[in-house]
Amino acid sequence: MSTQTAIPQDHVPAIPNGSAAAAILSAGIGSFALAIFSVATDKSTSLKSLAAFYRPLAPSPA
Amino acid sequence: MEITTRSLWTLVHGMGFGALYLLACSGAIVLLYLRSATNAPAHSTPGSDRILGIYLTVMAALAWLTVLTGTYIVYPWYRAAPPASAANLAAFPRSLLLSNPATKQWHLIGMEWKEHVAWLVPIAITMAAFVAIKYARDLKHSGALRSALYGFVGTSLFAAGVAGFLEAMLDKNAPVDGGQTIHLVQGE
Repeated sequence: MSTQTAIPQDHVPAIPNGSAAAAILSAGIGSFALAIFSVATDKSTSLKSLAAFYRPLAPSPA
Repeated sequence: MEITTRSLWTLVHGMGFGALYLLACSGAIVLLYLRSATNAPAHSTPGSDRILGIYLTVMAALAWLTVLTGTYIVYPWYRAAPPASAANLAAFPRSLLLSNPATKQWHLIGMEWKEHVAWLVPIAITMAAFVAIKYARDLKHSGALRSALYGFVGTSLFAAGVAGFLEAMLDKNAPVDGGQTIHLVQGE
């Protein structure tokens, strides 16, 4: 007769999630920066000219 | 039967990369569910782990190709400024849309979305691909990671879907056309 130690099925070791958190945070920061920069260049004339580093894609003319 | 180079690039951008990305999104959600749901029939093997990572990486490549071709190839043609004496604005889609109150909002809302919000798609799906590759075997056990992946893939699907709809409506009202003509089939 053999005995086996039962392993609880719901016991899962904690998963280190630092890399995932860093990836999600960086995607969020990138998206937020894009939003801020889009609104800022739309409202500020000086930022609009600063963003015109490639003329065919420069912020829309008036 | 013929097509212009600008129309061809618009097709490559929208019907090629963009539509393929939208199709792939639904597949990604099903694949994520099958890989992570507790009662799903799929079993976690190194092969199936790799497939999810490859699938999302290809989606990320499609998303980047879509926004880069749209931004750097098609968009400059769309927003080209007409000369002051231009009577026909057909070759200047942005100006054509803005010249008519009935179509003005397609540019103000539609192209603004495509210019800005559509860029969230490749950012979100690139992050999702990284997480799927890094945590392939652990996704089943981490509800928070699964929720994050669902959230970002869903967000990218929504943003890309709206951009695709607006692309279709913009092209319907003011198509990007012109350039060299390519003859596909010679008429009799």
